[in-house]
Amino acid sequence: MKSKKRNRDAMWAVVFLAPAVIGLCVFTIYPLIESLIISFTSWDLFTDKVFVGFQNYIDFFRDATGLKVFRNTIFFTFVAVPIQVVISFFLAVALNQKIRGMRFFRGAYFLPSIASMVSISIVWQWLFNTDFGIINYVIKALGGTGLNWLTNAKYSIWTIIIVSCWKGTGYNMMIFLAGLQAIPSTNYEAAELDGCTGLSRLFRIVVPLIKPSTLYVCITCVINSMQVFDQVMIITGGGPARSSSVLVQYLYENAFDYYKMGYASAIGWIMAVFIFVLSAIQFKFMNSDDYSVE
Amino acid sequence: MNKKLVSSLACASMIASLVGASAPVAFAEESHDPVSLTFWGWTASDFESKSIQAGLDDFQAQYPWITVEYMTVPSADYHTKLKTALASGSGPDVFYLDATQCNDFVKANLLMDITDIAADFTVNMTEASLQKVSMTDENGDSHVYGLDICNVGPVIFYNKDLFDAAGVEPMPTKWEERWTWDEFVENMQKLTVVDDSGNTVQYGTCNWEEQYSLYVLQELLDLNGANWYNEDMTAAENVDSAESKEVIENIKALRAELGVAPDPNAAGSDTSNSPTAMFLTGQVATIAIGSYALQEIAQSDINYGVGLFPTFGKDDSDAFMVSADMKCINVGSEHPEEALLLAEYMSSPEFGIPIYQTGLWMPNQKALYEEENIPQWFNEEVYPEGWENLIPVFLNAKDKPTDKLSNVNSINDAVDEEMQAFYYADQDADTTLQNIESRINSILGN
Repeated sequence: MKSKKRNRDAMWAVVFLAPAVIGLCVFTIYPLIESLIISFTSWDLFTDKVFVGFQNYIDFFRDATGLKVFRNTIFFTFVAVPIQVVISFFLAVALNQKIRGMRFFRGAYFLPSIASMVSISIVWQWLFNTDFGIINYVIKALGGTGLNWLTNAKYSIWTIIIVSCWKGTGYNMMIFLAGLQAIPSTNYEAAELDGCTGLSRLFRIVVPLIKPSTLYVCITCVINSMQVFDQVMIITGGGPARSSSVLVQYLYENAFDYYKMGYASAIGWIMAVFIFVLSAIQFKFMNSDDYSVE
Repeated sequence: MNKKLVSSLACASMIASLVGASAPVAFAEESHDPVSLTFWGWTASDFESKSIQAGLDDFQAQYPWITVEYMTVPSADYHTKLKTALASGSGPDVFYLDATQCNDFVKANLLMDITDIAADFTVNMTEASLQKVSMTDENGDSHVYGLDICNVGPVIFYNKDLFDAAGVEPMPTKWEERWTWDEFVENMQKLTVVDDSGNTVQYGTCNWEEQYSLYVLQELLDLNGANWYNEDMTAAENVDSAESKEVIENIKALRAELGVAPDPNAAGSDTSNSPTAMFLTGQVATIAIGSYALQEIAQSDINYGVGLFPTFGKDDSDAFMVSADMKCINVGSEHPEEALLLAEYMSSPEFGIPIYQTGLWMPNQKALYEEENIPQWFNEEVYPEGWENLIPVFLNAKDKPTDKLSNVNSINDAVDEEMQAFYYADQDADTTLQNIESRINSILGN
């Protein structure tokens, strides 16, 4: 009797899990395996695949353009992630206070994260416009000289960084806010009794206690930054002269403009391994069960 | 019973003969099963899309058993999506194809060879049109893979009111009267207005730094006698010639040294399909662009004129090059006969003349350049004064040489990247041109 019920329960579990598992297999696991196989071939979609072993991977590390976009992507990640983490943390600290209009400000800072990246990028493209953009207008009004944001190789990558940070900060702020609100008030009271207030309390009490939130924000920011694409395609197109071109854009071009499916798949796997390594490093250094305050 | 059967059959045959007599002659002998075709074109201006839809409606009225579904794809992704759709078997029956893509699509076996079945149609094409739609195989035999409807070539549109205000003479439209490059620069300087704060409120010209796949750079190189390729377009050579260097340095100087051209980012939206916002709002006096821009300019309030590119003083009598799209048929189309009917119709004067009248295209058929036929398409309300001088120029034009390249997307991207490094990242001209040659040869497998 009991085993019949157990079997029936198991059957229903399988029935309810099946759609998700089938979806995972069809849309995630199968494409992953297929792309890995394709990465060891030379294939243009129209002719048969030709096995080339690790040649695509070797070619990437000999490809001057590929290495350039890889460096751009790493630069973007190592600049945009700290900026987002720091700004969103301090915003969360500020909005964790009982101040008038707190709810309005939380909503206002979170709004960019729910807007479409495509529409945001189009708007920012005009904000960065050399002659008509508001940014240069303000700079000139303050007595400065407007910059060629999108047609100067030195500045183009920074336009992507600015837009990405502006959009991503709100969501990360909410993650930190949740972490801050999970800290028991007794910790603050105990700290106050010991004379630990202000910045000292922030860095010795709060920061260690929200390490899990920080780890989550850092890892997701790194993953998102390594995969940046939409804003690059729309705002700068990767130019000028590949100065703002990134790995995912290069992967897209190789796959759908040059029809080098094998090479594009190899780029995807190189990126995936790199992201995995970065995430593993972050886990090792930041993931700890020791949340003791200093 | 037999009498009833005979009288019924007699009535039926009478009705059938009446219907047959009123139907178009072509269909009197046979009925046609309904056929549905798909036609793809890139998203261009609203005017172009509407013109094409109007033509398709006429086609469907003439061939009522054929339904044509017209789909547009954003031009930036058009060939990518087209090739992918064709590879997956879900591609359209008939489609636009940029002539530069012809070689790659032929190699991928995506285009129907229509050499023999369209021979009567292609015999009246201008030389440039025929060059555009045909490829030569390894035996030296020429094969036709598309039908042409139009030619588009590089011209300069200018704002007459701004010219008058600056005291600049109208741009010449006769080949032998073209300005020299120095005269052009001098006039652009007169047309550039700087206010008291040092801000440029009106530029002389724009769009000279457009992407390689379009018209400006290739035309200027040809005008100055710079040829980047060997005869069969299988290798790049002499890219770093003095003539090439002179051209690219002159282009850069317009913006970087002389200040007569704006930052391309400031110039507005993508210019590959429509004139820039700055020209349409009168903030730039001239724009170097493909002649397709005439359709949109004619719809604006600008008092416009047209001129030819300046000369570098070389022997450039045959240096006017044209290009545009082809109509091609999917080799896997389930309805090849109807698809050919549609492609031929969309390349015929009947389809083309209403569109030529809007200024979007110049004709592809020699007969339409004969004096008695010009009034059929030459709309004086659209074509500006002096355009009649451009007619023989278009008739005797040649096809853009890059229409015969392989791996054209890779080559275009490589050239654009190096040119951007020259224009915006202070890479010197010699390095730029050497890199271009090296990268093109690498792409072509040399």
